[in-house]
Amino acid sequence: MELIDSDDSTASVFLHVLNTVNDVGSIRVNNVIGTDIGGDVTGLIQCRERLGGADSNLDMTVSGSVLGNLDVSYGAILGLDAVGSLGTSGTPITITTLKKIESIVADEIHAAIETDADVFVQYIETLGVASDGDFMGSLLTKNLTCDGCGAEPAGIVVAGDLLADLTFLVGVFEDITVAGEMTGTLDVAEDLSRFNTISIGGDLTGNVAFGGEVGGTFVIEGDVDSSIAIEMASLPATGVIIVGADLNGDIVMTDTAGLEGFITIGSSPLATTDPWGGDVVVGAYTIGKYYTNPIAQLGGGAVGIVPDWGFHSGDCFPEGSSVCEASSFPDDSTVIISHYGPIDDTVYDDLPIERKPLAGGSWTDITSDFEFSFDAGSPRDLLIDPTTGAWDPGYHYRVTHEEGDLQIPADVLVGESNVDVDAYVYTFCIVP
Amino acid sequence: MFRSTSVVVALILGATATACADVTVTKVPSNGTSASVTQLVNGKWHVELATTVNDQPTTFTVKGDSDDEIEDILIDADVFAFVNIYVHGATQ
Repeated sequence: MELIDSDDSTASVFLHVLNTVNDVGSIRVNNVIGTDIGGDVTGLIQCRERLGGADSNLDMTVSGSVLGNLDVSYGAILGLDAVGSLGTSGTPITITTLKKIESIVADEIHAAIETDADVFVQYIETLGVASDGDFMGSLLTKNLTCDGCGAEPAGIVVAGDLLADLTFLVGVFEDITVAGEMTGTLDVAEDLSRFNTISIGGDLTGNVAFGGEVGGTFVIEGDVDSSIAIEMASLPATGVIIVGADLNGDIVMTDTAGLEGFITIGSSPLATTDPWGGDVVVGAYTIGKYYTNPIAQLGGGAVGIVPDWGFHSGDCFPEGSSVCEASSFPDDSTVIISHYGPIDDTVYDDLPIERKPLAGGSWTDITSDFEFSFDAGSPRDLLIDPTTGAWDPGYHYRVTHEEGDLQIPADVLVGESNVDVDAYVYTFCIVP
Repeated sequence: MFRSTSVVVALILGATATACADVTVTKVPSNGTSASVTQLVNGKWHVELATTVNDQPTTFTVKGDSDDEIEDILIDADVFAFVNIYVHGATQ
């Protein structure tokens, strides 16, 4: 069929059923509802303006590919299901709507998709059954969100690579899951919601920019390419950025003390032995591996390398390897060992605590005189309090962490299992 | 488009259905509506649907056999009511 055309009719023309075996060319009516096209759609699909201004919507199922543009400039896409692709790599299509896009599902997408600036996209998926499942082209909309859609699918799911440039004029309030690499750019005027995750299965080679906060989780299982940056105003306490392999590009938080959450690097088997190559910038400070900037400068969060977590000497109390005056260190003080990332407070072994006189002698185990605990408000910290013992002056103190005594929780890692923290030794001494 | 000068053969059979060879059009209501089905020289079918009904919706249902090929369906509906189009079956 070459054409269904209501031309300049003034009536509201609804195409309720279009059941074909083979291809369909162009369709120009007001509303397209419930088509079941056996072949490709080769021409323009245009949902024309209705007199009186009511919506002209599209809801279409195609057994082949959609090779013509979709002009829904007076309504919404309620559903677009194509067993084949939308457009081709050589001839991408355009998809334009005035209202929301509720659902687009296709094997592969080669399309410039744009909604009005005041509406949203609920769901886009590539299946990758007969193709690589890539999403190429672009997407421009206000929000990725679900407006009371309940159990309906929401978000963006890409079976292959995400090569499209995504622009959200406000925010991302649903998950984005990409099985392959992300080479397109992601530009979000405001936030990634605290309840959502962006997950990239491969490398990230496209710039990412959030005008606001990354409140949820952003996972890159592969490398962050050296040519790009992940920028945001801040990473709040709920925010996590996981770079599974190597961070070769930069992560930039423009707010002063904007690092309240955690960034972890190198938890994937793909990581090299020195996975932190790029810069992490927090306000005016640029930090690198085993940075010494105090917590107050950065915002309370941390950047750590897996599994070489280590402790941040300056954020510990007392500072690692420090010499404390007894007058300023009461013998019932809480010692805090602060790490370069969170530790799992549900799975741990006591760390041996030893002391020896400053005047000389051998180490004595005093572990049983102390207890270990965690502060839910500061998941980096291991707390050590005297019980039957005390931090007596005149001694060196040594806390030895053997690999596996503490673990890095899986929720800040690539993979589903905790990882043992590498061995370290924390020491200080108290002079009378 | 319907108002073109091409010759259109409209076969109106009774009040509710128009039949022409293997492609048929059913229309509701029968008064104030018209449908024509023409076989082109390439063997495909040309369908034209028209309504002047303003006080109720018009519904056209186009049906064909699995080996029928419809070239196009053109709609002329200069009214202010709804027009519902159904293209059923194994039409190509």
